[in-house]
Amino acid sequence: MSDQDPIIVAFVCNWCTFTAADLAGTSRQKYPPNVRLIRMMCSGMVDPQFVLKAFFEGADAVLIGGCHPGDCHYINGNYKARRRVALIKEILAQYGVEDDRIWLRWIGASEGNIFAETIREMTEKVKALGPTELKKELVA
Amino acid sequence: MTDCVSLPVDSGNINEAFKGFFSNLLEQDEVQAVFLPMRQPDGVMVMHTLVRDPAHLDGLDPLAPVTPTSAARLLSALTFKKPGYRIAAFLRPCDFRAYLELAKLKQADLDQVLVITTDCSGRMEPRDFLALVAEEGDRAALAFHERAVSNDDTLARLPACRVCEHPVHDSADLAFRLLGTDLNQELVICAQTDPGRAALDRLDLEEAQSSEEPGDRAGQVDALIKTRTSERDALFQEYEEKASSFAGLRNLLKTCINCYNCRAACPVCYCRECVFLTDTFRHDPEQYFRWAGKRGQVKLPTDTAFFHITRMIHIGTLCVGCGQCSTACPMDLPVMELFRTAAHRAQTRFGYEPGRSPDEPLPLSVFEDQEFLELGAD
Repeated sequence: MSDQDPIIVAFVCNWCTFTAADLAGTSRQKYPPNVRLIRMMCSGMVDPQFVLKAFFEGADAVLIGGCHPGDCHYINGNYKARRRVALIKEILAQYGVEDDRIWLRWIGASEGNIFAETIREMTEKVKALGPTELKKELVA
Repeated sequence: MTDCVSLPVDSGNINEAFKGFFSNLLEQDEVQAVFLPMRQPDGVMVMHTLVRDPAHLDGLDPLAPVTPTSAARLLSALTFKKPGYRIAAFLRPCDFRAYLELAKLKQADLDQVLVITTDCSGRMEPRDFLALVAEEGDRAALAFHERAVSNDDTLARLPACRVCEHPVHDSADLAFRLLGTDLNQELVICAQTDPGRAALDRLDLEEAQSSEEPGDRAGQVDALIKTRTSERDALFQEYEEKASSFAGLRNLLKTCINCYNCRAACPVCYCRECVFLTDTFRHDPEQYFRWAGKRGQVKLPTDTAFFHITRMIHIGTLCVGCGQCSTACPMDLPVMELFRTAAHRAQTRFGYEPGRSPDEPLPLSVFEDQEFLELGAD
């Protein structure tokens, strides 16, 4: 992987999306090595600061992965995550952070193929966008 | 039921009329304390003061156009646990709006507080207020009001107040009507809620006459809101352009010294312990060298844009545009301008107006099943 390859930081919930990533691996699904997984107990505990920190430290895109609505291990953490993501996107968009750099996806534990497909799709889109302006402005 | 009362003003001394009103609140035991702006011993600067003895109301100056720190935050210090006293608090509309948000955050109490607001023509930086007092003496507050409502451009009003589209608040218990009245003749106070009406009924105000709403006030309020809204929209446009990229934002914040005064001054910055004061941001020295190594250089202090964007995410939906952040900034950064612009976007996204009603839940404390589907998660 060269320095030009995009870096995706993915905050994934323990119960669904992380398990899906695990399943993708054990079932030999192929997806680009650009993603750095961070396992959280719930998408609802992804503090917006974690997303900001990822960008400031050089991430080109951030994925937040949770359980499908109704499936949250903690009843409603994913709904809370959705409001936070809406807020983060709204604030960052005005400073030129493109919509395609912050993804929220519901990926269930049995959906290893969808996890792999999401990473493939995301890597393609982020490659096309190029590096972020925040990356250039490191720890501003 | 009394809706409005007119208090006579003798020879332009409006503070005597205020004094009669507030001392009556205490004497009738309608409240056990009043919380309002009072001149300090030097006789010039005005600070919010808690008064329990009506004999100690001499220095009151509610309309002094200065609020050195947020009165909402100060009042919450008296009410974050249910106080055993009923308090009448004089709050400008922005302070009341911030106070309502603090009540929703369970950091302030509404039940024990009789909120008294005023038509607000704005406020000044403390140093400009001192200059105005040197010029106008005891008439400073009235002179400010007269010049502000006639849009006197030479008046040093806060930028936040120039663009404030909330010069009045309709759900405070009581409200002084400054617009549409001759303040050299009378001071009109109106009840806007049932507790306000009950309080006004029980008072024993000599010489007071029940009164109507000042006739041409509504028109004046509308005109004021219109002027300020158009100035506000111009400000939004200016800052959307100046900070349309991250480089633009960084340029506006480049001299931030991480003093966190804006955070301390902000009435709705709600965290009990700010993460930026914790060891999370006490980086290992090695970290700075790594950062400098990666880019060739690193400006210190670091984490400045990080701090401001975090604060925008925390308080974006709650910002009432009081401008205390800019007053507190020693580097004259356009903090209010950036936060109002960001907050407007956040509030529009959630269809939320902070300080409008205690019944509207904080946007991040609730959720719905089917919403924000455009985020692409489904």
